[in-house]
Amino acid sequence: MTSLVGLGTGEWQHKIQNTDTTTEDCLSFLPSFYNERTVNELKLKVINRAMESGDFGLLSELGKSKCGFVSNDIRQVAWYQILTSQIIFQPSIIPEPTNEEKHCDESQIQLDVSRSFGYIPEEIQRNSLKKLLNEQIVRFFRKYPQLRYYQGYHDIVSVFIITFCHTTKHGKLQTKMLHREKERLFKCVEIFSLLYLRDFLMDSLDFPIDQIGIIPALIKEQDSVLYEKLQLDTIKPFFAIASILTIFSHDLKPDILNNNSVIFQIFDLVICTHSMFTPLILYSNMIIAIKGKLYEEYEQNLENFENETDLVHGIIQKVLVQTMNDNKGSKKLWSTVLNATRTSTIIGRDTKKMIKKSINKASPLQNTGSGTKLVRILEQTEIVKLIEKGIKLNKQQKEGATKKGDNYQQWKYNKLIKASLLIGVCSIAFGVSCDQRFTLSADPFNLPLLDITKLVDATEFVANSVRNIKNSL
Amino acid sequence: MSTRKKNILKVIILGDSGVGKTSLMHRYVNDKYSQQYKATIGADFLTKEVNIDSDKVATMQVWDTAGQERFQSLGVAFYRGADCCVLVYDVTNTKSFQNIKSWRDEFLVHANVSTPETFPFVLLGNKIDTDDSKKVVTNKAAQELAASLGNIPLFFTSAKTAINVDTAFQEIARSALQQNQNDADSFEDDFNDAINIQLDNDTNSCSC
Repeated sequence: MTSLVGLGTGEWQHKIQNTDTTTEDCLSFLPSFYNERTVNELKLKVINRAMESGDFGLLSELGKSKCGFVSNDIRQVAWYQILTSQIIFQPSIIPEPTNEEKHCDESQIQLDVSRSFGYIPEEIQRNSLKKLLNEQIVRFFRKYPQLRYYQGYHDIVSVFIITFCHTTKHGKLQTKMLHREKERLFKCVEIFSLLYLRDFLMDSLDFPIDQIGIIPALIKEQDSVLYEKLQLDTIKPFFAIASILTIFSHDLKPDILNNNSVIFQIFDLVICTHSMFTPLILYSNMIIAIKGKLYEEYEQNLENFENETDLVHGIIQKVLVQTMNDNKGSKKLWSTVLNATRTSTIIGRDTKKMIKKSINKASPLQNTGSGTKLVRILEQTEIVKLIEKGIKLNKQQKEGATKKGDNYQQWKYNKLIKASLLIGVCSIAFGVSCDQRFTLSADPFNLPLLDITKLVDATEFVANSVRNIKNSL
Repeated sequence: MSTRKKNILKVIILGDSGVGKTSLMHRYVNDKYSQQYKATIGADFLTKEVNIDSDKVATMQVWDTAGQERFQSLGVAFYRGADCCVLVYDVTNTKSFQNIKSWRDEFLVHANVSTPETFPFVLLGNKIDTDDSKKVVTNKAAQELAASLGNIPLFFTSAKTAINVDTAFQEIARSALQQNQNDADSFEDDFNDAINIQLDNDTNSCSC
């Protein structure tokens, strides 16, 4: 045992990276007679060693492996180290808020904070946690007044709070925090929000809706039958919005007696993969994992919903609630889903194409949370630029949506011009070459015979004609 | 798919954040109340079997929505096919009362209902159990609003102490059933329109 722990961090990394990724956990090369507790004790030592030597690569690998960072007292240090290694802060660029000027969303924050930590039985403890939560959220938005609070952000920050108030050996949450600890907590919340949550912190749901649009594509990659059954080509996956906006923390509350609840391991995975694709992949894998039950419920509930969107939303919600209420079932489901996500985070080519098209250029999915192996260390000014760009693109998208009707007219009009140009080009080509073979292909000059209002047909017809001409050439 | 399901009454609860939408739903469906309901994100629903006028049986599906304004953009998906819309304000919160009209308008814009002028709404003034000193919306103002919205039914409720919740939902069920039957009757005529509506939605979904 000592000799294993005594390995240099490079050797550990080598061992971990070369371990069969389909096996149960990253320390699976240890003899199987070690029980989980021993493995986790060993793992804690390795995590400590990686932190001491500042080896963030190894630290991330450990956080990604089974059981994540194992315990909240270690987890909070590991998160702090990994997160703070990614942004260089210069206090002069974004000063700490000193004024008392309120952020416009503070009343909403108040409402949601007051409804938080419902699962904490003891009132005094619950109130201290609420106070901490309020402080953290308000401080963040006063520091970044250009960002907007959304319902669900409070759930995410709650996870950080519980992690930093880790459970002691006596099974009690440590809610009294030293100034220094509070500062570290805030840094984590701040950096996590800036790196990964920018799309959600705009003033509309447009970007998060774009993000959940990736889920059907991910499901299709793995299970096209399920994709078709749930008609995910036509239904917007709004059923996923709460899970994605809160990285599952809306429904998955930590068990306060367990320092390694599933929700912490999910956050480990996001932080260590440096990727906001992780929640989307987790969600897709979860839907695939419950598909048997979904098929059953689908058939049973065909008559019970007004439309297909309600049916799919309804059965997913029903199956998930059932699974979550069953402690054992929930544990088993999440173990399957987490393992599937840990071992494979490869995104298919079609999905990548779709992402490129549908996700805004300032999105974390395109840069700070794209999960690339080489994590860039950002200057704070770069983050500010990304925020500004996001806000600008969000505004454009919003304006674009309201002008959709006009755009459609414009689009139709452009098509008409393009169609006419094509006909012109075709006729020149036709006239110049005067080849008999053309007569075999569709005749572009027959256009006037078509109903000109059926523009789509017309453009398709022209496109076909051009294609035919090209082929015959 | 836009076929009318028999005896499923779809009810949507709307209103500002924190007015008690989730609490009302739980009080009605499970007859329970908790101080600890978490904020709703997206939409949740519960179902309950209902007897209307002691001779009709139906299943009411109550859809509870998020109160923060930005979540209205999901409304397009959740409001479709609703049979009744419940508008809730908090009697201790003037702003939530002032916003009722815009909640109704938003609903009509997104729900694509066949006859907006006759679509059933029910207005609920919740948290009536609180001290009179904290109440800021007068009953008179509420009655005037209900009248101006087309004489819609108004109830003063408390999800916490169960005042008027059952009575209000009886009325909601009755209105929803009426709407459901009206729609079913005119369904044949509207069949082609329904298909057009779906096509429109599909066009939108491509560009998002």
